[in-house]
Amino acid sequence: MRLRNGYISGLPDEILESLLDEDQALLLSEYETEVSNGASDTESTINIPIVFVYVRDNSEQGEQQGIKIDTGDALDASAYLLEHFNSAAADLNISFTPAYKTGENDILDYPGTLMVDAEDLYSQKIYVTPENTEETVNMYYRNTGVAMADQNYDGTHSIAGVGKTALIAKILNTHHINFSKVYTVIIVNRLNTLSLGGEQNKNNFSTLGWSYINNIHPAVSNNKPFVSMFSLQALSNYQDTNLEDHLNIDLQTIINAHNNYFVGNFNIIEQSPFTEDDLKITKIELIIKHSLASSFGLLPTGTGMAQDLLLASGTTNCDANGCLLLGGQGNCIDDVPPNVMGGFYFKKFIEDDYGAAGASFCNNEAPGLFNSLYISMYNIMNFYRTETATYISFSENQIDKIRAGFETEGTVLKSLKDNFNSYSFNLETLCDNTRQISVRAINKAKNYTQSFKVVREEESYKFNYVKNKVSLLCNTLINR
Amino acid sequence: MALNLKVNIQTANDCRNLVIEDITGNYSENNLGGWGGLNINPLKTNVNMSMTLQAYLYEGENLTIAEGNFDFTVFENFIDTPSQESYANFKMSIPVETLAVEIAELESFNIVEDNLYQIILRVGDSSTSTEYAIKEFVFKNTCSITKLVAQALTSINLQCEDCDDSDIEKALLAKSLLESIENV
Repeated sequence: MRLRNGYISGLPDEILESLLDEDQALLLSEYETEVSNGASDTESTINIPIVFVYVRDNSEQGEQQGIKIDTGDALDASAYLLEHFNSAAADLNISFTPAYKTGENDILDYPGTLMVDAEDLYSQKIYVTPENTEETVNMYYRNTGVAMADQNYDGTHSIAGVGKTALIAKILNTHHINFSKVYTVIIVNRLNTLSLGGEQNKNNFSTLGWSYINNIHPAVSNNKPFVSMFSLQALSNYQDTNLEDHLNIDLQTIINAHNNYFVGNFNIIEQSPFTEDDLKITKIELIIKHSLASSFGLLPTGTGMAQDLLLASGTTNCDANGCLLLGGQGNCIDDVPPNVMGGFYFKKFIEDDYGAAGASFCNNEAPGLFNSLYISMYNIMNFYRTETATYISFSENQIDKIRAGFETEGTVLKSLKDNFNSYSFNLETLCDNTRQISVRAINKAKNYTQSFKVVREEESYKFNYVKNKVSLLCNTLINR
Repeated sequence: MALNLKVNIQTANDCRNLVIEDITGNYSENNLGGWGGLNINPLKTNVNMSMTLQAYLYEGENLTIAEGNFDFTVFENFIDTPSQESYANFKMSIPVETLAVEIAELESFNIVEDNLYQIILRVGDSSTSTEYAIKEFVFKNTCSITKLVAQALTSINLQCEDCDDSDIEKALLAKSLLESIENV
């Protein structure tokens, strides 16, 4: 896969790759046709089991790169992330609960949390030297993170970083995860977009060399691992505490290590070199919401036609009111018009306020409230966001389509929903209601693991359930 | 064989005290995990003991796991030993309000609530960090619910010939569930 527009989210490039494959294009089209009929129910809560996978390197070298992560800190981070994922999914009436297992017999040591040690994880890449000769280099995860694609937009250079396929293989080698039954969120040190050699920033865009998220469309979950990937910096924000605090890591250490590695080994100098502030986003829910919606089948508001995505700076136009996945152009959503702003796939969430963004307007529109650009800009499937923005939720049609995906037979989304009881908390016949494991319980489990060998949540829940049943029976008799 | 701690765990009749009683016994041919002999001698000058209690507390569907540590020297007023010099056969009886000193989540309770508890007992060197023995126990407290079932059973009027049998069925179901709760 080539890196064309995956500088913030990898979804546009993933979608294009699928559209270029006849079989996958058909799957996208069939899925879109099915969910276009809408959902029968948008009110009830959809429960989904979730696991956060932390890819770390606790070796001495990894520690120097700033990606040593303790399991206790990861548990703490999972509780933090769970809270924000549920907040982000609240508009959709979707609720995440930590998975207890990730496969039929693959019980997790800690609910919703999985650690993957990646000290030996690397991929071989071709580096084009300044003298225009090619060298094969080993790109270790700790130094380079994960590559967003295999090649740059014109296929002349490799993208730095470990391949996604190698990463998934490493994860599955550590622990079996059924991606169609547990929503899997992978946290990595970096999603890399740097070309290995040659002229940098060929597109004249301010690319940082870091992406934030990568998601797969649910229609092609049988062809690609259905995972949601985040880089560590994507989950930082301006609030007092953020993911790096919970993980007890220092993002600037990671950035410095990466800067030094690429400057020292390949003479590749990224913008500035950049700092932590360059990467921060305003609010963590925004990027989580965008990522979730991408996994649940929505496209960005700037989506044009397939030919646009083939370019390294895809933009759309005012006529793009249709659906890319059905062979047309547009984001496939009726009530969110196209966003025609330039550099759509390259701008960060925090950049530019409406009106000061050099916004383009379609014919018959004037700058001001409630024109189509405004509506599409303040939609969650946009990459723009200011601290003062308020219209960041989903549209009705977007919610309807996402929810329809969870109702459609054969989809990965329906599989996630249907397997909730089996994968999140297996109480079988004893309990007839679903439940939430409190965030607090996971936090407590962190302390607990220092002394007790086993967390007896399921056992205690059953005990409590039976106790309440007995109390109810007895009180009915005593008070009759 | 290393020291193999054995205890009885229960609550007092009024459900207000957590009671832990040492039944490890002395080392012998038939009790290789007992105190003394080839194992550590339970002299208070030699060893220090502590108990960590973990309570699984529910409020509706929400679970809180609360934990506190009870050093035997700190809570010596609540520990009775047949010998002043030794911890052998100790009997610890801690009221719920004292448990709340270390576990703030128990502050609102006036009895040891019916819940699942995990307990760790440690025996270590009194002057170094050496740990001689550590053992985990699970205690499912049914003190209050047992009283409630007894009350429900006695509330049934067995002399009533025309009465609906469903009351008896409910009482027997409650009793059966209570008996099975240990196996949950």
